[in-house]
Amino acid sequence: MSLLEIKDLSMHFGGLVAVSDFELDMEAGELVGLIGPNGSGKTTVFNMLSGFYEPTKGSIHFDGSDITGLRPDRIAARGVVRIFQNGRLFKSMTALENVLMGHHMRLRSSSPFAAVLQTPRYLRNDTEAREECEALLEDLGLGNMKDEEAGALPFGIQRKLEVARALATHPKLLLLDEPMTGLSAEEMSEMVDYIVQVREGFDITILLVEHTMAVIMTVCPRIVVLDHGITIAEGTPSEIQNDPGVIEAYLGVEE
Amino acid sequence: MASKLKIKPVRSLVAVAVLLLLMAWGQGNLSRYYIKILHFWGIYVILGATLQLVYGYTGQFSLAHAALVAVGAYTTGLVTLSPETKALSYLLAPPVWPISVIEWPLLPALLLAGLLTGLVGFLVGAPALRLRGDYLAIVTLGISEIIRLLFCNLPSVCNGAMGLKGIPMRATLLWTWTVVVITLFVVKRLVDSNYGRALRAIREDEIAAEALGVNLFYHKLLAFVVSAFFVGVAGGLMAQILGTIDPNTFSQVLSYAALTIVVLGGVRSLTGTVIAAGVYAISSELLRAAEAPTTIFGFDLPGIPGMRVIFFGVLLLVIILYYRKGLLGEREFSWDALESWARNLGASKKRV
Repeated sequence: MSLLEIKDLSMHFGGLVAVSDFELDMEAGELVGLIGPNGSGKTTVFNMLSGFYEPTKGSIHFDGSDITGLRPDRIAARGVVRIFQNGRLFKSMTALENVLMGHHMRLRSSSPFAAVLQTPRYLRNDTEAREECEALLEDLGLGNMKDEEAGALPFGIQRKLEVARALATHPKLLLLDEPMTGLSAEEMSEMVDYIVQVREGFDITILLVEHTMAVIMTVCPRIVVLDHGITIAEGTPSEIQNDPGVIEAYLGVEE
Repeated sequence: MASKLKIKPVRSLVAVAVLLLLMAWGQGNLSRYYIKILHFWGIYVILGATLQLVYGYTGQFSLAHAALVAVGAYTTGLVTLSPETKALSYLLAPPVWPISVIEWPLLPALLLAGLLTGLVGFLVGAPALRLRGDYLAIVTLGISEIIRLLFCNLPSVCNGAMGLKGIPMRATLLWTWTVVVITLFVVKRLVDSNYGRALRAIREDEIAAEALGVNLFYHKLLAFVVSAFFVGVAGGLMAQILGTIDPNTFSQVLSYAALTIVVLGGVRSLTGTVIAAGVYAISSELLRAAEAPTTIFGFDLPGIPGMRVIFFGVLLLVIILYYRKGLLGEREFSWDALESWARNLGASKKRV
């Protein structure tokens, strides 16, 4: 059975059809790219997957259960975690604190009372969380900046940190919304390596929305193309590159 | 390292013990006027610190403090008043059972005030905390007024607009400041825990926090209810300090007082809150002069009741416009900082 099964997913805003009958199956461990011109509905799909929009129609099954229309925190708790397009780090917190926030929902075992009384169990959990998050930053090559304020880090590092923070939730499916936005060419190639490293090192499934064609074509073995809310093509990078419908969507029709 | 870890709590415990001993001494040796100022300093610390939790750390702009204080004060007043006094002073309608027969000592009365106010906090917070920013402020302001009017219009429960008189004044400075210490301890421990981190995350970016699996509603409500509990206890102490309360004792001014203290001390600084609460308590006494009739340059000025409130309103505006960090910004007192400060002081003296 697939990890993620999306059927007939549609989102209407009044009369505007943002996404129409979107379908996608993803196996565990897959890396799928979702592309399309501006306004084609990619981010809307992400908002439905992560619970920020309730779909008008259709269903999302994840890991054997229906997650359609659940609240964002519930969906995150089931293992679907997203990265936002323009970055949403907690800027006044340190890098480590940001990652600890990713870890927070897994600390449910200790109650606020235990936290105030600092019971041995709470302190043990807290130390474990800290050690785990420090190790995670270390693994991802961000260890030396754990005590830096997140907002003061270079933009490229901030994007990486946001991925690290998402990984601290132990997600099964990671939704990356344009992780390359605003990065320099050099930072971009670092980010590509980073995504590959994350996928291999953490045994994780990734759905990647991206504008930069070069990135999508090199990283994703399978690509889905959206235009005006409709899936117009699906296939390997070479299939997509030669698909007349895709070329038309991106470049327009020859007169 | 191990010895250093052990020194810190000991130092804090000694400081708390000294503070409480001073308060116990003050109770016996200071005049009633100064005792009252110290009481209100303590009350304002509790109101400020609890608003720090809700507004400073969690970013939820609530103006419900006045109503929550009222709930706590009325609860304590009602359960500590003797049944005879109640029977005598309820002129509009006889008191209902169980209020008519109950008479409790101070400690359970304060705990009940905290618990009931916590419950009211839950009932207010559950619908209101779905809103954000200005909307939340307006709704909490409205609910606050509703609660005050309820007290006005329930003669058989809380004697309506006549309020409660002759509440036994059992709260000593030691009581008030013990509650202050407990409140500061709980708020500090909570904001430094992983829960506190989640509260700060919610303040910075709700959407990001929610996407990481943080249940926004639960965490906001947690902050609100914990804060309401201590506000309720503070209200209970207030009833015991004043001896007489009526619905107008808990006008919206109290919510603004808490806000002024938070902003003056520095948002997210509990040390600042303690200092600002003192400034507020003392200056609101000194400013009584402004409300008394005076003669300036030969002009006879009538006393204007409410001048103090205007002063604090202007103060709040000035801080927000020109001095946003308040007294301490986000800094907190720490023993280490004090130590290095003392060391620097010593070093500079030697140089001279």
